[in-house]
Amino acid sequence: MKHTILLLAGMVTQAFSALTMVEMVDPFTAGTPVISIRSGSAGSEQVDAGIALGGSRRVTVVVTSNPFFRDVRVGVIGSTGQMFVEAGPLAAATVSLVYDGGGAGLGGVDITVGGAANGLGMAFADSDPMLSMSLRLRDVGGNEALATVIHETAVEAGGVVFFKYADMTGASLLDFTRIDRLELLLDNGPSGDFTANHVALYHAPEPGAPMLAGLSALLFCTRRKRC
Amino acid sequence: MKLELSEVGNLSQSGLLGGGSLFSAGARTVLLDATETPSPRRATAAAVDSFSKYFFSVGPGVQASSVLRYEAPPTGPLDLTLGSAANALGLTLDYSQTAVNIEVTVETPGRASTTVSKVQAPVTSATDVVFPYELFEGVDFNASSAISVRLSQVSGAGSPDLVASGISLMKVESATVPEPSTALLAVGGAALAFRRRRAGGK
Repeated sequence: MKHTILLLAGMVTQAFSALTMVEMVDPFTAGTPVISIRSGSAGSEQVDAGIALGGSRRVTVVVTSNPFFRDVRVGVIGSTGQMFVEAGPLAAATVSLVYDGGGAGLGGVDITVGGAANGLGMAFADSDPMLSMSLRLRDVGGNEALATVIHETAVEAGGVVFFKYADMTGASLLDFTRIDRLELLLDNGPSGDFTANHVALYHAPEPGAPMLAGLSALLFCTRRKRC
Repeated sequence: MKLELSEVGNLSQSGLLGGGSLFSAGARTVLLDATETPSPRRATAAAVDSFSKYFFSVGPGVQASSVLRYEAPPTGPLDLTLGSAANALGLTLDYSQTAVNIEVTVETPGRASTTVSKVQAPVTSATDVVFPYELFEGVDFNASSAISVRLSQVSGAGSPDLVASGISLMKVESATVPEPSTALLAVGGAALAFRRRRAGGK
């Protein structure tokens, strides 16, 4: 019996943390020139069929603090399929990634993929601690939903920072099946560096489902008294 | 001076030091060595006079180290004790985003150089990382020819970004820490005395 409980507890934990990728938003295979600035802001727009959502990505960097005038560099490297931010000592910047069909709007994209996806995530190769990341969505009716995640420790290689649609502020008014604009805002604080592998739509298991499965299994075992 | 590496390799740049330094008329060399540089990330090391700061910055995934090397002038070796007024060398770190490995090497003419290393935890305000001379074995601090300070990343601690504002000679209280064996001996002695007292009382 004791062994069964331990095994089930392990399965439940694994199920909670498992994310399944449903559809790619941006594999970062369409590169943008490296932006290198020390103050102010700079941006670059990339139009490419490889960007799954709307065929366009706009990267904007705003330097928010830079006491020693060190470089802040941001780039999407198509050859490796990665986006990176590299800030010199104590330099801080916010970086936004906007997907809106080059300003024309996405025209009502279903980011639930017919109900198969229940959230959006960004996968990382590495990151410094204290990564703050926000997702802002707007539907064709002009309704908005927003969520922010602060990752206090470094994101592990392959780790996904995930936003569940249902948990976003404004989610009840937003039509996730008719999205017009998607924006990711990243702020890694002073000297913050990170490398991201992709942005994608994911399915995260509902907490109730594995819990119910576990409880049912436990009940079954208890009734049989042979676990 | 600024050194920048976006590929595996090493760079160095030397310059004569001006006044206000123990090594006046000596030379400072900044070295940068990168062993892994995923494109287009890079490592930089810069001594910026306008800020009086030294910067060492390593991009994500880059493996790099930097060395600050100070050499005595041709007139001869230096007295790093300043006539016994100094007994330690300190690196002042203003900021270090991650833990960083610091190695100090002191060279004496005609002898093997000696290196002492420390892992410094992240720093958010000016902190002296002190290397007492007594930790260096076989070094004649009255006649030293060069000091090198090497900074490198600590495995698993992330990519360093640091700001240093100086290297100085300083006087510190004795840094002698009792050896663990000495401490154990003291605890053992106390336990023995306690047992004897208890036995005597019975």
